[in-house]
Amino acid sequence: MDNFSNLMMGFSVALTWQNLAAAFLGAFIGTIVGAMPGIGASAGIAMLVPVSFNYDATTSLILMCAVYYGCMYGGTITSVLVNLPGESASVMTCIDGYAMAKKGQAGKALAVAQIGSFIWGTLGVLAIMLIGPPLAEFALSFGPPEYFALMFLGLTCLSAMGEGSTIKALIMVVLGLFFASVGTDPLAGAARFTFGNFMFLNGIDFIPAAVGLFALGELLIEAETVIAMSFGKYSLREMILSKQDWKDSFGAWTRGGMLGFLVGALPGAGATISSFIAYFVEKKISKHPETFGTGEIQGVAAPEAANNAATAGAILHLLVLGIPGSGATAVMLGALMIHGLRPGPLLFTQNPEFVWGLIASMYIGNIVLLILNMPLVPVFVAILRLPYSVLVPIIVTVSMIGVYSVNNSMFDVGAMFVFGVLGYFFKKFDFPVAPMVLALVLGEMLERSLRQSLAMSHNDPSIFFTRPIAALLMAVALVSLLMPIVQSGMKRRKNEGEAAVA
Amino acid sequence: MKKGELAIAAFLFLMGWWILWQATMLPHLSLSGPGPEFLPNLVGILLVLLSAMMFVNTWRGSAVTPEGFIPDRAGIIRVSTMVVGLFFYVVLLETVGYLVLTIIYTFYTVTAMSKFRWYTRLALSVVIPLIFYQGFVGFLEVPLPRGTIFGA
Repeated sequence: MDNFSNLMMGFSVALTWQNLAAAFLGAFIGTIVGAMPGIGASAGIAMLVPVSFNYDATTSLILMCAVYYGCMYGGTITSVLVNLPGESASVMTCIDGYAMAKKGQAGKALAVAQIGSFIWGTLGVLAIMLIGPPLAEFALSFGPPEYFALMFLGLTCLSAMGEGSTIKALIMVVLGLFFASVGTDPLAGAARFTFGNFMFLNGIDFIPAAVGLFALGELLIEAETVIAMSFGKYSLREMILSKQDWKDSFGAWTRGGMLGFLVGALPGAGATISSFIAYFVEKKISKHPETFGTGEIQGVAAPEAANNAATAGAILHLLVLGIPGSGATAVMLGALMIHGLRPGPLLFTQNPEFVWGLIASMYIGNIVLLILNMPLVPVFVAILRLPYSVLVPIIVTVSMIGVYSVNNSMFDVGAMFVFGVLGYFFKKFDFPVAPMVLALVLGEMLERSLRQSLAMSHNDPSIFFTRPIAALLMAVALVSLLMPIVQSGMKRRKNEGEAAVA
Repeated sequence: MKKGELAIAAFLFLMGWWILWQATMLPHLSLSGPGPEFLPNLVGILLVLLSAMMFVNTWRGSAVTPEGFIPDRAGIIRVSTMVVGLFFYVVLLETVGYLVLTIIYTFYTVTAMSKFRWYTRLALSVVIPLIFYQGFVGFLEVPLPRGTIFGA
């Protein structure tokens, strides 16, 4: 079946009332979650995962992808109107978006962001459609060494390219692997770190950890300094762009979107890094770089196109290779596995109605978001005006319900609380939590691939460097790990040199 | 912050050794290839090395505490209030049941963190849990703890 026929089949799946409702609901919830500072896509998806178990895998993933996209749209609202990024991927939008709002151009900034997000959200889905199947064919040749190398690449890239210290990120990966090893060993069935307690035999589920770390941990951090958001003025009339606005934005959308998709497709890179890179590239090539930061339209267009394109890149990576590259896609992977689906190259051949249904729903989801977001900004602003004291019990209630409903287990609820407190301290001391969640989700697969590879080679680790694809992936992973160390050493030497000259 | 980070690095260093010790007690059950002790050994070694690197980096780094790292008194009280509330919510959930306990928890949180009048706090405390109860239990048929005292 060619791509067009597959897509038509996908639309027949996506256009059922249940899946359409999931797309609408996910887009709406995702926009609100994305707009709330601190509660990002990972937390939003983690809280919805248990709710999605009431539905089949296709509907569940449509809901989660719509939330993911919605978060990218929603993060823009508070970035432009309040100078507070709702999502880490919207940080760069704050710079020129809020400056535009101060000049009375909030509506224009929102429109530029949302149109750019729509264009590249849609083109990103087109790229998934075109690149996905041949990439899946290629990935069929992967064996345990290639899968291990790919997961290793994902974990190292997320550690090296994320915010903050690489060493702290790697520590979080290792801690995630430790938590993943609690319970029963996946190959031999031995009990590990259970201390004779049967509750630990099933291991630590990733959902309580993800909800605790992302949602509760963030609530506790926000509790330190409760900020009352005061929104800037905007009007719907301003959202109609002039010919000059379209002309000014077009190039930035194009460059930002292409960069965003390529960077987002790298395991670990994600929408945040994509938006950073897109902004700085746009500033670098601009004829008037000094105007960036004062309300330059390209400063909004580029990062917003990038973060939506990156989302599509991350989903491509998840679906085709089965390796998530961010906290949000890590949670989605966990959800898919609970539904009995294993993302990877075989997914395209064994579950085409699921894959193409999802791709079709992403086209629909982008249209829904564009329609919802433009006129519904006043509604979202009204919801965001809810006081923090009211938001806390809502988020705690949704988190508790979500976590409890997975296994009807109070152990999971207790684990969520423990991870929530840990998440608070991790965030205080700048330990990034996404690598831990990713390692927890990948832990069993990683261990299985590693041990199978070593069994194949009779304990010879050179198997990872003698098979070409595995060797290439390992080389890229090691370079990504060493680069921050080398750069930091060069920077220190430069500073010492300058200090000596002074 | 520097002292805190050094303490964390030291704790992780000891944790790494503890993991390695625990791994020695795991059976080697594999006929070919690594056994169940492999990943714990790897994790232990990496944790020891990385925590040592973190300790050295932190020792050599700046001792300046970033602004806002230590919250003000009001912030500490808010965070502590939330943690205590969450702790008792989790501990009592199965005994008291979702609906009644969430009403109590919501009242506690709204009272601790806002200046609403008592009737507004009471109204919010009842309305919010009821909405979620109807939505999740009534509509989505998600089972929630009913409690042994009130059975709700």
